[in-house]
Amino acid sequence: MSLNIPSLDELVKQLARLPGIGRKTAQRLAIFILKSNDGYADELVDAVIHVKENTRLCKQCFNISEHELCSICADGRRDSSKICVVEDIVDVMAIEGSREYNGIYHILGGVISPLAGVSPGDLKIAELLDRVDGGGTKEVLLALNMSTEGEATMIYISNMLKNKPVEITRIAHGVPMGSHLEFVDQMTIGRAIASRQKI
Amino acid sequence: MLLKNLSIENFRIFDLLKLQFHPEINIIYGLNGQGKTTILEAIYYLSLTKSFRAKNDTISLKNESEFFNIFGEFEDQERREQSTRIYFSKNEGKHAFFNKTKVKLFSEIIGNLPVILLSLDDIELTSGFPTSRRKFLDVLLSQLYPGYLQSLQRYKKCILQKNKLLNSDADKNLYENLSVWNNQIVEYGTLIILHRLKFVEFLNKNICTVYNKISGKTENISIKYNAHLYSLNFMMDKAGIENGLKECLFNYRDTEIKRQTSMIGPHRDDLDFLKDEYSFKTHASQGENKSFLLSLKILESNYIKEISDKKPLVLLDDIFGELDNSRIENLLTLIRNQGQTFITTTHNNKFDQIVNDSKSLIHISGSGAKN
Ligand SMILES: [Zn+2]
Repeated sequence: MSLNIPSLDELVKQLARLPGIGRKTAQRLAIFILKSNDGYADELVDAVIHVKENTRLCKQCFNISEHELCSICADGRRDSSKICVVEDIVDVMAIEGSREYNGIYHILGGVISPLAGVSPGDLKIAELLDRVDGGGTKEVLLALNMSTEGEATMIYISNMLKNKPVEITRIAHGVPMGSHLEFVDQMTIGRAIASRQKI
Repeated sequence: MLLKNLSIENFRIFDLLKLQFHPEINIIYGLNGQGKTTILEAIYYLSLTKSFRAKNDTISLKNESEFFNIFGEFEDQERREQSTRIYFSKNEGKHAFFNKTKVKLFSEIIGNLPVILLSLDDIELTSGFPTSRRKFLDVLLSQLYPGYLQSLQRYKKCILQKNKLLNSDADKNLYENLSVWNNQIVEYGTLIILHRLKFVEFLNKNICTVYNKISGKTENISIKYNAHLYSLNFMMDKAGIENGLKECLFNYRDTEIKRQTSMIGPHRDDLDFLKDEYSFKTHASQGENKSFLLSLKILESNYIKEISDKKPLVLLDDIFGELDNSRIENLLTLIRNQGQTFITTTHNNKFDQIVNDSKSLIHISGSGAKN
């Protein structure tokens, strides 16, 4: 439903373009912004502009950064001999959220998919190989999604790294924690059993 | 399995239709074009989340309706009450609900209510293209093994990706780019082949007995799993099949590149139906063909019982057309023990002697129904 107020409609339209935001949510957000005091709207606009003007991609791992190197690459306490390869920046956020990983990252910017027109050359795979060739890397941990395209990309990278002096690992295909086995799909169970560990 | 009732809304010609079913046999009768097959189609939707006669869901939407809804309550093999609902709208897409809870993946409900269907189109199984025989295997095995369905979906995705790659002009590093898909094609393909072989083995163990019982003849019938281009036999284990596929994919990679299509794997395999080592397609009479098809369906349902411990719903779509009453009776005695049966027909009088409970008769006319 529209109230026929063009400026409000435009804000709703722009908000609804955000991932995960439906039209109803966009309307609620727009009304919230509309009703907020002047200060909030300005702060929001500043933040949006600031993030675009002041960020770039880390020249080493392609994470978002305000400097040449991102805060993770620049952090001397992190183990730079471990590189975790992910598809996208949101995956870095997810892994960082777990606080279990103390190595550094490499963000591919996608996965191989001929149907979507993405070939290995479109991803930051050559840059990954350069990093490994540059020395200092002991382990490359492949942490891509389990889609057929994610699998294809992991296979491709493993093939490329095969003859290099690094250990290649991948995250376990596992049963999600807290899930009942009967609700986990059979392929996940099958693979989890195939890659079982001794305790 | 026992389908107790069905309600459909905005589906094909029906605005709203609610039916109660007989636990053993249901004769759905009425003139042509009144929606008899639509009822079987709706039941099939509850089992497999899709139609057996339409390629997409929009076709089943009643004219100018926003959505359709199919809801059925059934009793499982342990007599627990369950329900399934399939909802489709052009805007929201298709959603499935099991016991009123929305499921994330359709594969979670496929197999809950196994179904077998026998229709006049099944003649395609013996005389048609390999596609229909692969579909026969895939529909059955997907209902029995969730892992089969998932492997099949991933396998098909890999074939699409690989074909796209083979069709593109990029010839730089093509071998390497192909290998990432071939690698997965071997993994999922092997799983698919293993399950298919196991079923074919079951068929071969039982087909002669069932066929001879139906036809009244003594024939030597067999079914061969026809692996396209790669070598395969029943003695092979998982590793053997994997190696066979790998080797073949390697040997044919230039041919695949030249022809720009995936030539090797279970998506190109076929079944050969043989009578005394000769193909049914060319060496069997129409009657023999029918007996054979019926045998296949009976074994399909026996296999469901053996693997899942469930009796499937049996859907018979207008297959008794020109048969006389005694032949119908014979066929029905064979098939009705397989599970709760749903028959569409234009001639209900043919079933008078067979059906003694009037609750079994469902008359369909226009957009309504009555027992
Ligand atoms: Zn970085």
